[in-house]
Amino acid sequence: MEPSPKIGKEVIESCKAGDKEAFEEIVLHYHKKVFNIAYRMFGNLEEAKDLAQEVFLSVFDSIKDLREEMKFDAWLTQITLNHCRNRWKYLKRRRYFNSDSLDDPIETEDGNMPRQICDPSDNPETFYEKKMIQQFVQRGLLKLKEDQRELIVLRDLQGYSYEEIGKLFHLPEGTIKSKLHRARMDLKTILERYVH
Amino acid sequence: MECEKVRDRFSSLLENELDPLEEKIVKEHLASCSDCQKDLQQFDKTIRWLHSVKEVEVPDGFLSEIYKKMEERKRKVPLSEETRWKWFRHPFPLRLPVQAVAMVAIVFLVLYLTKIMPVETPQLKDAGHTKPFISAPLSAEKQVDQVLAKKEMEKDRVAAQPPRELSPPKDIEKAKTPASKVVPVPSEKKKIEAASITKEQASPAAKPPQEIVLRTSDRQKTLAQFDELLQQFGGKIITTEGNIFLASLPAATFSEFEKELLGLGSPGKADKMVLKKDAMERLDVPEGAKRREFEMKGKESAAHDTEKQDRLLVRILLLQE
Repeated sequence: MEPSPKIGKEVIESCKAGDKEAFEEIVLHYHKKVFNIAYRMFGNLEEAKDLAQEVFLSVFDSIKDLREEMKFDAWLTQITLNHCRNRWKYLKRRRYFNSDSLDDPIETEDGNMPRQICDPSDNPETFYEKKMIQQFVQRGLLKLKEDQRELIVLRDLQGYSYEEIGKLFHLPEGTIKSKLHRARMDLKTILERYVH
Repeated sequence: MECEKVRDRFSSLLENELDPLEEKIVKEHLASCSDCQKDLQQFDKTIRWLHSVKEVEVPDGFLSEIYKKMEERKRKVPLSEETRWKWFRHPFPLRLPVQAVAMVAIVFLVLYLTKIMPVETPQLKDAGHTKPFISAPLSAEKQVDQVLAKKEMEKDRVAAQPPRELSPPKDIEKAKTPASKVVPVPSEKKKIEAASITKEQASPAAKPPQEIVLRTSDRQKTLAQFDELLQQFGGKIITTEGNIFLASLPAATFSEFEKELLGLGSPGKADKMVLKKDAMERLDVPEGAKRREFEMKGKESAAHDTEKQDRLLVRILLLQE
């Protein structure tokens, strides 16, 4: 997954000055990325949409405080992660994820589908093969710790470099690498348990 | 290389981040360890699955909903913000009245305190107990009360207590008559002075309710006339201490006796000072002092009681000029 190209500095400047068109441009440029990070963090489309919209509202409110326009991407990702963390805490307190299991019916963009307890990749002709894989991965991600999920989402799903992730997490690249490897191994174990 | 160390290098192996030597060692181990090989295959599948995950499309109306939320916020936020920061945006019209009110309050407080404090502080110290006070003019009266109360306490210690009788209210009026040549003093000041005099002159013998000050140039003559007058009105001298005489005489003849006594010396030489002590006690003396007075009365002998019912004690101060 290729990272989206950066938006022009002048657009950010215009948005800072209160230009609505510039804001729209920023939203349209980044909304897919923000929405997908949120969706992978929560596994719920409605939750992801609300959260992504809140992220852009925060961007609109606080973009005037952004000093280094060049770091807009990192700044936006940081806002997204912060919103996710806050929302995750909120939902966890309300036991939102307690009933979540890999055995539960899977919610897809086309509605719920029953869980198929077999390796979807074993049957390439299965219509839902790719979607099944995505949903398994999604369920597996939700079983991970929050910081592990963040690392996998940013690196393996969004294609962030180790350097970028290191800056976002304020950690050395080596630490990020070893943490990410641990997260991947844990995800492997989770998926192994349910997929034959 | 151990299996665990090989597994720790799976990510680096798949991302081609191992150096050639390390890669060779790991691959050699994998070739000989089926468990690690199986584990690597599963790991590789997980990574492939992760990389195969497609991005989800953003729902329609995403941007318009952002604007809708913005409008909702605008409707809510300005109201709350306006009320929250109103004080800071328009400080002048609000702060001025608050400051003015505070200043006025402080000025009144300072005036009130400066007015009452100099009088009240020593008074409280003297009294030995705190009494609530209402205003400054009352403090002088209270001082008299306290002096009288103190005097009463001293009386408690006196063994032989002379009978005490309530002086009739007419004495108060007499004290104010200009003919008696009483030194004109403000009523409150007079009370304090009278109280302090009685306190100073309190002897173990007696504290008569009536006190008359006689000024004379010829002591012997005045004394002789005084004796005659006393006998004439059926009175007698109880004690004599220098120029202070304590006499008793029938209550009925007191007013006449007093008139005659004041006429002893030439006009201007006699000075009368009738203490309105009993009257004052009746009006001002605290309950405790009154109670003590009654208790003292109870201790007096029955004979004294009958005698005192129709006799009056008079203390005469003879001042030689």
